[in-house]
Amino acid sequence: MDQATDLSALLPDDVLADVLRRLPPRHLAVSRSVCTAWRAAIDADGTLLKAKESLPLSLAGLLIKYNWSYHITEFFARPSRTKKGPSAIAAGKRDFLAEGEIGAWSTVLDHCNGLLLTYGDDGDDDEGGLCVINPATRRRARVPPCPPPRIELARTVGEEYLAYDPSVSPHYQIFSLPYFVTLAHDKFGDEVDRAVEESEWPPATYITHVFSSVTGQWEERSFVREGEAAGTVADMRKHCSIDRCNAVYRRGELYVHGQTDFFMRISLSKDKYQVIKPPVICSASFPEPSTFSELYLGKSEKGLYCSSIQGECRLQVWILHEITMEWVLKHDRDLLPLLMKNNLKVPCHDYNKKVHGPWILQDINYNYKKDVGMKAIVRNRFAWSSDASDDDDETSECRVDKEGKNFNCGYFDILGFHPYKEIIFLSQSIKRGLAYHLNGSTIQDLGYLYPKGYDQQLPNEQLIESSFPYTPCWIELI
Amino acid sequence: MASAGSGDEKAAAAAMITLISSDNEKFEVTEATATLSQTIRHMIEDGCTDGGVPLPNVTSKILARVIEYCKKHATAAAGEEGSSSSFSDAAFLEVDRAFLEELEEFDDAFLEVDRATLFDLILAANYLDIKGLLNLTCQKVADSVKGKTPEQIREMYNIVNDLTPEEEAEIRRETQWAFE
Repeated sequence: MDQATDLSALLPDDVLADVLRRLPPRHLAVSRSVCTAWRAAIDADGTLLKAKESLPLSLAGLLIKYNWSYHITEFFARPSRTKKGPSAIAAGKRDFLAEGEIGAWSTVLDHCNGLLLTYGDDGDDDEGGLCVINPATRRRARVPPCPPPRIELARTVGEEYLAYDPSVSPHYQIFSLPYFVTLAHDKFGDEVDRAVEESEWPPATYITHVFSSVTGQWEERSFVREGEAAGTVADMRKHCSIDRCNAVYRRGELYVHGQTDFFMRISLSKDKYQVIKPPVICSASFPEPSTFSELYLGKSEKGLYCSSIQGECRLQVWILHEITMEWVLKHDRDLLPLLMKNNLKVPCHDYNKKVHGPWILQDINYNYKKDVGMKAIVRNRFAWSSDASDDDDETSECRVDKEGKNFNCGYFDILGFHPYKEIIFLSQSIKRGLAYHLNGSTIQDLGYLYPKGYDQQLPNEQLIESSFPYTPCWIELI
Repeated sequence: MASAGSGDEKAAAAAMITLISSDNEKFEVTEATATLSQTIRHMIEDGCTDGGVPLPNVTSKILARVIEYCKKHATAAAGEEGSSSSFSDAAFLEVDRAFLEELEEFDDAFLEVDRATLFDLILAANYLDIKGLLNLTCQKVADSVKGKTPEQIREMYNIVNDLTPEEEAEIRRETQWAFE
């Protein structure tokens, strides 16, 4: 046979369709742009169209984990008015998260393409453990406990991350990565191995536990570093924070936000990883050290994004350059003028006067657990300082002058990136959700996101620990 | 295993079928081997295999490979029939498993061919209606496409891109999620 012959053109239509049908959705979609014959075969077959309806290609809302000690995750989303989903599969299942039928999935550790990784009680029997939940298909799979970390890594806790891409494979993996705990006041100084403390981190060969849904077991995997380390184990311990660092899974690579703000890019198929340095935070116009410089890692339209809030409401966003693996500043803007223009001051903290927006916080866990869980952790609710009432007075009474001096914009948390559009979601003083378009044009009020019962129960610890955009997936294969 | 299939082989030994390739080469095979092809099975059932079965679409080179595949898998099929009858103890299952592994290794080695041969095998499997072989070869092509860009796929199989730039742009728009 002539080597220049178009081989695929030799195949009868049904055989070509048979070949292409075997491809996972992502590769099938890519194959559509090979030639007209392939496109025709794929379109006639309908497999891609069907698969597309099940893939996590739309943003349903945001999962927000409030408070680090209580662990409560709620769902902030546009309430679905009708049962009309994007497809027949979706119909009637859209409200699943809201229905709370799944029980208490109170602590959501991670979200990846429609799967949630949760920890804690499942509302029924024992105290539970790690669980993988697909709220859309109403499937829940228990994950056996992760084996303890390697012996030389003293005083660490495991942080689990999900790696799942249903457009390529129905199987998922869970990574358990060590998080170094601060050695407070050298109290434990004698217990740690000095040589280990001074060794580089991450190590040249990173050995970690990975759970695979194929085998149903945790296995030790090792990844060889390409390039330099981020620092030493001792450096990591100095950056021990209560906020959880996000991870993003994209194109077979897991990006994890590590201590000291470096990022690890783990290539699952190549057993390699590399360290990505944190972006350079531009603080020229804010000379004083910022109190809110935590970085948020996410993915959006153009790949990997990272952002931080400087000062009160100066938003900086970087995009990861795919080749140099460096963060490129994409957006840097003080949001105050835009907030003022839209009269978006901190909303009044009063349920009777709560702001109304297109999205609502569904208070699923609150409603599910209010009779059991909440009472157990009631603290002295009257121990609250005067800050809160000051806030209220200012927001409800103050008048805005032209310079914006009395304009209380509150403080901001980054809730997440829209997975397919350049939009970032923000929380204004844990009261209002905002959607800001990175082209700088618009900021949209989404609605009130303060969880029910929160102020009464936990007066001194109101904060958002982590937040993930939730993209439902209807593939029934976990 | 071979001993389990020996009964069937004896029975089939009597009935040999002659297959004739497009370049007029003759291949003597047992009926058990030949009937892995549904096309030939129907011909045998219709009693029209006397004097050989001409296969004008299959060259001797490809037919030899196809027969190699069928021989191996006919033995496997006979082995399976044997195992499902009365033996169910662990030792037998162990032997069965080992045999399946061997078969898998055979399939992997069998697919170590150039792309043109792979496509000829697909065409032959399709024409002769050999389900297992068609499945195996189609999967091989699908696996080779996974994770490749459209350009890489075209290069691999000498495919001419007959889409207009506008059409390509439209495809990208429609399935942006797959290209991101």
